[in-house]
Amino acid sequence: MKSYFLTEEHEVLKGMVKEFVQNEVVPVTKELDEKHEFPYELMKRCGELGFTGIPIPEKWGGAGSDAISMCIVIEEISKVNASLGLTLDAHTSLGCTPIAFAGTDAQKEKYLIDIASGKKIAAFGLTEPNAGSDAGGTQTTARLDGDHFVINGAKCWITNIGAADTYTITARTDPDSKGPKGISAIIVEKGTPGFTIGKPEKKMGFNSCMSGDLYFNECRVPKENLLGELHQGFKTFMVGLDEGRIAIGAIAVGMAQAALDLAAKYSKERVQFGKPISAFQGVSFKLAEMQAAIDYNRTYMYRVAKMRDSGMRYSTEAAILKFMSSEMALDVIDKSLQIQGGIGYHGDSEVSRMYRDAKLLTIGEGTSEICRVVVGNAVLAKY
Amino acid sequence: MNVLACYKVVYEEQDIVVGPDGKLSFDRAEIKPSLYDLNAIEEGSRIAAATGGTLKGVTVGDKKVDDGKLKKGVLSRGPEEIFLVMDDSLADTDTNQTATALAAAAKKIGFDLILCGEGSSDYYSQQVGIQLGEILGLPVINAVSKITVEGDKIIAERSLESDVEVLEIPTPAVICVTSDINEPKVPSMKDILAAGKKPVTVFSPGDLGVSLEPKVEKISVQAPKAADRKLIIIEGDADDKVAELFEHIKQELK
Repeated sequence: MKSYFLTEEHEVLKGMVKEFVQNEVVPVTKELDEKHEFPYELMKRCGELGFTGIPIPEKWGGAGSDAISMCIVIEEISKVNASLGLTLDAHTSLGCTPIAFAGTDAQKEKYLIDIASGKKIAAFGLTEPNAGSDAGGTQTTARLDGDHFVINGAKCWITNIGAADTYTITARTDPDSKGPKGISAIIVEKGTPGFTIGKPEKKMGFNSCMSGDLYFNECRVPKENLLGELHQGFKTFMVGLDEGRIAIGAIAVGMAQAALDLAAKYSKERVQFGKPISAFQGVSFKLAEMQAAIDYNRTYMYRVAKMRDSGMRYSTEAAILKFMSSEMALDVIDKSLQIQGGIGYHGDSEVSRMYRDAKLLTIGEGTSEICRVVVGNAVLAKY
Repeated sequence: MNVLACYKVVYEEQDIVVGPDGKLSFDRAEIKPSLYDLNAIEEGSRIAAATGGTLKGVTVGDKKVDDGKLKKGVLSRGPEEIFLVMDDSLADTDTNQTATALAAAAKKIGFDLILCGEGSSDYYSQQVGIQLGEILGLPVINAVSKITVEGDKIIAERSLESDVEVLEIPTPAVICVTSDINEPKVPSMKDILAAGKKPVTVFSPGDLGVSLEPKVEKISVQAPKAADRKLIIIEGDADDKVAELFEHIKQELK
């Protein structure tokens, strides 16, 4: 089949991910979700297949590919297991990319090779009880003491906690600063004295993707673990957040497509008033709207990915993609459940898992509101 | 050991549309390597790696076989090089045409062992491997579920009804493998990115010095008519049920 945009490699990759998903992800998804288990085995396989560092250069353990490939992989995986899609997103875009962007060769040697190749898992810690949308509210501190930073404070809702070995966290390094200035990014290894990892939170969805607290109590890490320049952490983590918003777009598009697939199939099987319900425009128009919304968002997702791969600035577009695609996914999944009726509302149905999972997409990695702030500011800057 | 794996390019079954007249339409169907041939490629890849040999791939068909995505897909599964015997006249070959073309290509490419899938996922005639061995004058074994290489000999196992037949044959040889022989691995991103750099050689029948005339005339291909279900549920004890079933069958056959 001809493609208007994707390369042959992208098309082959898509086929390969589908094969992986059918053979290895589908059989374990329900159990992982029900048992709230982290997908260690699947993440190991993702590493072997090159999915744990898709846009990271081969030299640093990655696949040396592009953000479009990352979209393809995350979309296909999220069609059946959005938890794994989000785990990969948090690992790659939030965990690996800031180190690839701002790390020294020594840091890349020590941390990036192992995480991009999937030997270890990475996490990124920004959110705090009083800082999230307002990153400037960061209260975790890191003071220089000889050759070490001494970190104190707490983080919450950190994805991949427990499973991750390498955590990049943000802390205020300039005690006199206010707002986003004076914050630095610092790499902290699991097992560092004074660094405690909390238990995974009980969540509404994304059951096999772990999120929770990190605590720092006089935690000493070597000075050379500073990622990027001192007090300039904001720049470093925005690189990860921008790329992560593309990945969230891919999760949203994948989930929505899977929800449409389920609804369309069901509508042709379910007979009421003597015909399949797909014969009623009340249903077929819904399917048309779902398909249209998915296509628009997938096309826009590729555009933003292409901007990133071309080295353009894309923060505004990533923010547009984030809120448009996540809100689209909620709407499409809601319509899918409506079409599937009682079957969809059953607690064991796939669409019910999607319904619980999808709500996170408008909250994590920049709420819909914060993304609108980013876009609104960009619009106003032009006039 | 240098292995040559044969693969057929077929239509994706779920994309084939059956028309109201029972005719099949392939217009909107994607193409793919035939399912069981992936087992042959996987086994070839394993043998080549275990023996320090090479794996090459070969196929026969019309311009479908030159599809970029398909070629990269095959190359990402292990072959270091593939060969396409391609001509407009080879769109829908019979088994003898395919075997003749493969034999000529194999002689030109060189091999110690040729591997085929047990049958194609479209017609599933299970003929090509056997005919290929015959044309080349080589030992051939079909339905093989395990291969062990010992020097230049092959120990091949065939799973029969209740026991396993173990055969030893010299190389060069032709072996057709079942889907039980292995689980084809999903290629990695590295394999996919490397696939585009591997060589692809196209042969015409003329290049191979063979004429490929069909031996079979295909008159038509029709999908079987779907029979309406009778929706009869027979209740009662076993003897009554058998008697009633018998009555229903008798009525049907009248």
